[in-house]
Amino acid sequence: MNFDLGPELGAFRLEVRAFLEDFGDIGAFFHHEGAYDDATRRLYLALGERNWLALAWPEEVGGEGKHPLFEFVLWDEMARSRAARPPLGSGIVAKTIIRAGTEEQKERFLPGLRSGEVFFSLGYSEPEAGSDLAGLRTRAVRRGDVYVVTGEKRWTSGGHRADYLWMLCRTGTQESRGRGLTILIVDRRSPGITVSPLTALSGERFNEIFFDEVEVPVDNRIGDENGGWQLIGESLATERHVQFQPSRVRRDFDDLVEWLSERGLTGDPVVRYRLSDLAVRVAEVEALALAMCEAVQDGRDAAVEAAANKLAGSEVAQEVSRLAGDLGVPDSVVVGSQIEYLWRQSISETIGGGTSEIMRGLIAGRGLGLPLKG
Amino acid sequence: MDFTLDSHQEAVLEAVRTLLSRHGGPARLHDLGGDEPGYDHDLDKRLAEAGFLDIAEPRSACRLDAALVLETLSGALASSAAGWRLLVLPTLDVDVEGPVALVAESHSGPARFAADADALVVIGDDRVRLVRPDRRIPRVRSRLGWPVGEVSGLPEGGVIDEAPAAEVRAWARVALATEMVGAMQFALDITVRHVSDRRQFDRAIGSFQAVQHGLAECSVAVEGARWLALEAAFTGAASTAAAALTQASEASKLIFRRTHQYHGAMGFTREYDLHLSTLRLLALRSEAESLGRPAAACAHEHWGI
Repeated sequence: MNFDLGPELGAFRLEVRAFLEDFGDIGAFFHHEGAYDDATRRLYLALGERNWLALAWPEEVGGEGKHPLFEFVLWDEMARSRAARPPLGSGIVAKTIIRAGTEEQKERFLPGLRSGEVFFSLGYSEPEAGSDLAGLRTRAVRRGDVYVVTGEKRWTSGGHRADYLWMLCRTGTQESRGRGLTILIVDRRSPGITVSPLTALSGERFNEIFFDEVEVPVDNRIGDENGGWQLIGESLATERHVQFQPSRVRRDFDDLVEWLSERGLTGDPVVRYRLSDLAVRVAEVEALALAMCEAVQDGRDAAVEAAANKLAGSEVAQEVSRLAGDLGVPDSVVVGSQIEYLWRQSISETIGGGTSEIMRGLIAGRGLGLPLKG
Repeated sequence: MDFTLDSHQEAVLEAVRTLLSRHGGPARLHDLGGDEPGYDHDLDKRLAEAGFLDIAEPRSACRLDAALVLETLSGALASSAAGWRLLVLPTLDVDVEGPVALVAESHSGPARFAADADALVVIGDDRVRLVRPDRRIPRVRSRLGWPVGEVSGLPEGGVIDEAPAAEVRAWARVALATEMVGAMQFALDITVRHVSDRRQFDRAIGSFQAVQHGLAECSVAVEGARWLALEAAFTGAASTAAAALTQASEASKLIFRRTHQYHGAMGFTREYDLHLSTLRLLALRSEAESLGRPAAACAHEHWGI
């Protein structure tokens, strides 16, 4: 047994830290208003220049051909410095195109994703389909060389500034559930698309995106018609190691301790007790992340380990950010105070990217082997 | 023992609810600024005219009716400091027309209602002051559903003769616990409606046993908090007041987590009403601690430690 990621990844971690010194605290890791500004764009372009957005892509499509754990280290350090989150484009989107796209699609989409110039937003959730994606209703009807897309996507992060939407659409009957879904890449500027804002408690702009007979070239379909469900399942499997970064929790905890000690509160026995309790949980999150990395390193399906990592990590992140308010520090209620901000940014962590309920179900079913029905 | 409302209480609460149906509720809070609201002077005026704000007799030991009114106000998301008037002022022989805010003597920083109050009740270790600020206390931005002012450097003086500081603190705890109960009930009700209506996987999400158990626990926590808070208002005992606030604070954490969790992304958007009550709970909990840790007060009141 060995709990070290090894010298190569250790060296890479230091390289990432050095790289991030130039970018300071961009803060685009969090979902606040204006999280994706020019500074963030420069960061992604700089990542693109180093080819770090394609670390684990195969070399034949311009990637570095590295082990996925390099991506884990990169985004874990990005979380520690709060610079940014892993983009969907170079992750789920690119890896699905690499696996299931045509040569023409690879040539058309991969260079922009690798360079950090092109931005994708995920069009999965709908008003009636959140955790239950197989129930989604946005319909794509084949008409000659195009699909005609009609429906609504909701809670779409970044949908207003995306170049493309990575959409899951219904091509089969409603009853066919997961067997009737297809992935389409939709140009966000296509006629018939209306984007309207929904503001989240974090300050993030979500969107409602309405599609009124939007024509999408058949050439923008990834994989087979009605083959979308399997592709998104496989693509999730390729991104488990970057689903939740343990260093985010460590950084939040360190900041909380510093914030409380600046206010002279760390001598209070109640504060010390609560902090030591949390310190143990933070250590637990880091250990679960290592277990997940070990499974990924070993080439095993890390679904259960990744679910445990996300479940524990997101809940501890919330506990950490909640503590200051629970201790009665008055500025924890004020807009702009670091701790109120941290708290606000953590509310959605147990919901976005797969809810805690979905994670628990996965651990119970695939981890413990519990039956669905008696 | 009788946990049902008597006919007088029924009539009072019915009248308060009727008033709130026109002048309270989420729509009114949205009008006032939603999660960053102004103070509802109009509501206070109507409550005062109807006599609801002076429902507890001065120096009375039992303030159950006042607590019932406060719970109803809080459940309708009133942006009002009526809680201090209903439950705390009857202990103090003072005459204040408009809203009052309440802070601990050691307090410096943001406080609910401070920017809108005509006077501040300032609770020290062994004295209580009524401070009428010589200039308006500045408003400070908070998005937790309450109007908030920035308190610093309050003037000296205003000590209220023979005011029992411990008793005032205890009644402040009852008020906070009662306000938490109202806000928690709002969050729980809207969540029960949501999980009954929202269908995923071809069934109402409220039909999943995990969700049912989670909400059942929430319901028990809110009921426990309600009866403890009302018992404290009934007896006026400092030990029960501390227990009630400790329990309500703990319950409010559970309510926040679960009600948001079961709403998914929907509960996380500003257009939906859930956050109007849940964000308030954070501010109330923080305020509960700033008056002296309620859990420590529990131990002190029960065992003298």
